[in-house]
Amino acid sequence: MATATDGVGAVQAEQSKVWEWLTTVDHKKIGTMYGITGFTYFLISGLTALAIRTQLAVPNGNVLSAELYNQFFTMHALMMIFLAIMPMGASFFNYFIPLQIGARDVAFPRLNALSYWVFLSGSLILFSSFFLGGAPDAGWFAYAPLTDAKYSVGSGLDFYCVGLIILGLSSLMASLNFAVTILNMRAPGMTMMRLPVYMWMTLVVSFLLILSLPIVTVALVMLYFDRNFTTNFFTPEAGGDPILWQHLFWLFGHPEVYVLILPSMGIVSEVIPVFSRKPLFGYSAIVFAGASIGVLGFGVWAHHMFTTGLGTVPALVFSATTMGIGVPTGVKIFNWLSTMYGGSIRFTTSMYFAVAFIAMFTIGGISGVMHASPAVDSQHQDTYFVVAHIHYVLFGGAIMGIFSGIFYWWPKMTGRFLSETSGKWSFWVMFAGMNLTFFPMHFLGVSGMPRRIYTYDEGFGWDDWNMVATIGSYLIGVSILIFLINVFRTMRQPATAPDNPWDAPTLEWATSSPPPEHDFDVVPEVHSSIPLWTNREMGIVTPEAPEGLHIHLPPSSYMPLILAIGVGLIGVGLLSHLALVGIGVAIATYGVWGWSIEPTD
Amino acid sequence: MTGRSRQIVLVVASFVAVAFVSWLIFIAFDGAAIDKRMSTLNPLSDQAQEYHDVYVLVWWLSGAVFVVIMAATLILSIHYRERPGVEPRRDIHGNTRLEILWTIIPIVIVLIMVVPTFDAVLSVEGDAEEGALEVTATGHQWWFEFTYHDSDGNELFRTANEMHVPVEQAVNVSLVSNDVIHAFWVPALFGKKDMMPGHNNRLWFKSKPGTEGMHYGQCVEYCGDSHANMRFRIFVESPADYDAWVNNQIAKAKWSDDELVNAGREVFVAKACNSCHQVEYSKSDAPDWLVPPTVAAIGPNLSHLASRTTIASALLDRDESNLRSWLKNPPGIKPGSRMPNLELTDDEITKLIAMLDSLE
Repeated sequence: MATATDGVGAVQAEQSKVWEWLTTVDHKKIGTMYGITGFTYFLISGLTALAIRTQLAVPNGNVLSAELYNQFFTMHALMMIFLAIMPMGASFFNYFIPLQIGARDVAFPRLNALSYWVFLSGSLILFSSFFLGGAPDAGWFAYAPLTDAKYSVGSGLDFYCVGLIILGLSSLMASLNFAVTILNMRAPGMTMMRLPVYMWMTLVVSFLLILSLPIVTVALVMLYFDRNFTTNFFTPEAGGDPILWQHLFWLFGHPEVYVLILPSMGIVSEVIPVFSRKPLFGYSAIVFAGASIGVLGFGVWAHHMFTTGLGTVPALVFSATTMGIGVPTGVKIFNWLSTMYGGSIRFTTSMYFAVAFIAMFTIGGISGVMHASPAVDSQHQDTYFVVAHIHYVLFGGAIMGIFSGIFYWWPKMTGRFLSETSGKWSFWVMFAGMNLTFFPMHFLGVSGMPRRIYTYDEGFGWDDWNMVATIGSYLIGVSILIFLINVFRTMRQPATAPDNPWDAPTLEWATSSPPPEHDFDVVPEVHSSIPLWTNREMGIVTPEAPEGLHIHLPPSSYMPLILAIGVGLIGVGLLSHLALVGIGVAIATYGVWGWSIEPTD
Repeated sequence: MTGRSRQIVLVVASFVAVAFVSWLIFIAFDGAAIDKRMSTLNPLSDQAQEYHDVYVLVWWLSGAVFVVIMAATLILSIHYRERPGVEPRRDIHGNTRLEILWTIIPIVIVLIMVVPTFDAVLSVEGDAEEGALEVTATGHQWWFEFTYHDSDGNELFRTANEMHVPVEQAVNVSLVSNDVIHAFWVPALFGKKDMMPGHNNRLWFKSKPGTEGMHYGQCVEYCGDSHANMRFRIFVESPADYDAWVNNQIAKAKWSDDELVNAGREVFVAKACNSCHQVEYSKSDAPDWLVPPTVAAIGPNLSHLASRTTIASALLDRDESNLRSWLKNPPGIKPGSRMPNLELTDDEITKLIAMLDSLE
């Protein structure tokens, strides 16, 4: 607490706290920043969802104009995917990869920090579009030629291109970092088939991003050029082809949805064994299923294009591969259920979310397999049936998995327990709200309600279910409020959580809650995929840290921040004055140069 | 109650609960079919029926999977809750035979879905029947243009937003876009197909006997500001009614000497309506009437507007009040509309409506 006599010293103490976070290369702090930023965008995007639902509660609503609605549904998807789910996923990856593999940080700590700061600048560029001439309004998939400068006048789609390119850079750097870390820095004894399932999912996700992000980056550059430099990649009158955009986009877009769901599948694979108090059923099968989903995920993209006139043969081939990918997914569902079989289940909030994931994701998976058939898809595509499908897998799946992870890992990260009572309230309200919102959308879809419409007329029979869905969405909002109150009250408690309150088997629970800056005093021996349980059974005790143990940690650096500012300025320059690009390049160059010559001891 | 009978009660009760919920869901799906204008569950053409049959099979398979998984989740959650004195089965790590079984069963389910899918798609996407009626549907932001062709492919006439077809007759629709991607969809008659700029997509359908009537359609590929407002109708009618409609559409616009209609024509020209909308009077009736030379339409052809039941791409019923609102401020009704607010006075609108009403 600063007093009148503290003067300069006190100011310096405050400054260094901010500076500490701006220059940190500690994976736990970076993970925390990703988590807070991601959750903030989740809340903002949730507000766009509430606005959308309010507009659609009644026919011919006038809460949102058409122009604003189209921006809102576009940004709702963009924010949820790129600014909420992926960063919250990155938050857990960052925090727990080193801890789960028994390392002390990631392979490239400064690159890790850079990923976060570049993410932040990309996200600010994309979000600022709302206030700088209008957000992109052509859908998150931005089909050409609607996105051409001729039809999308104004800068929204330019913010889209620049924002997503920068966000893609951030994810690419992070994925390379995580893949190298998992492959190279595992504790002695941790073979690949002893990795926690969450780590396997992270590895698969990293490779999905490494291979798919370059494709969409190319597409975004082509779109930016079509809009600003009179190229004609997607302009049919000049020999270009709108279908080219769709192929390039979905070659990224489909692996991207596995990027969104696999981390939550990994979390659920951690949580269910812990609270069932028995090992995961069929570890190898789950790992192989996850890996094959990753690989097969590159072979299904054109199921987003069944109605574009692909041709019968391609449509049928992609239909077969799409149905095929349901098989490894089903295997996982059965294995999770079998883990519960014979268990002694403790229904903590985290476990509720994990079990709900199984049920909700199954529903989303079922509707997905339904329109894997082009016959069915021809009546479902671009209707609310697809909206139902995506929200069951993304909300019922990805988001509920994230909440399961939040309640599971909160004591480890903060040393405090989120209230179980409040947690269970937020779970049940969210579960009810989610089903009330999205299940009726199946009915709306089969009664022919198209998607991406800012309003609809009376007389089509869509009124009642839309009202129900809107009420459900408000319930979801209430559940989030309950959760936020839980967080604020919890963080006022002292940090007293023990190392391993859930009696979990993976390495992150073999250190204090929260972990010290160096993560582990001594890394436990690893003899299985459930090391802490195995060590207990075999009587192996992890020794105390030896006297005078010195653990070298990478020093902080402000170069990642500088480089990220440079990249951000390049983006801003591409959206305003090209001169700023020059300044951005100069700053980025300084950042790279400083990075390469600064000492790392 | 003994442990064993408790187990049995639990399993039975869970299945009953899941079955009840599933039954509610079934009713709701059914409700989505009955009497809904855009229902996808009421196939009125052979092609919609073929796709619907695949849907029904897939729906029941999905329902079975849903019931099994939901029941299993419920039963396992309740039965294996921690109880004092009951130890978890930590020895279980897997069961190869079970895992193989539940890999094979989904593969079988997939095969059961794939075969009828292949059959239906190959059939529906194939060439239209011999002697199919040829129509070109052109998507514009935000309305549908229909060009009817004779059997040699020559253009017979153009209309907008309402398409008529004879019952039990194959219709081959060529799908074209004037600007961005649109899609052509009448759930009762066929699944959606995109109107892809630069490409020549097509679909065909043949309505079933007894399906005469009005069927609702909508653009179902996001195409900009007024995507929500881009609708259309297909009228299936008897061959006699269809022939009468075609002959009317082919004929030149009806000429009326009524004073108000004349005044309307003057406004139509003075306000440059004819720079976007064609009204094709015959030369003998109107030797000085200008038909714009552009073949590609900017706005719908109005020669027979009064034969249509709707205006503004089937957004509004064609009546005096709606015509007035539309003419008063088109972008107010259809955000982004290419037809601007011409600042017409009420008097000018009255005259225009008289003219438009005469164009049967």
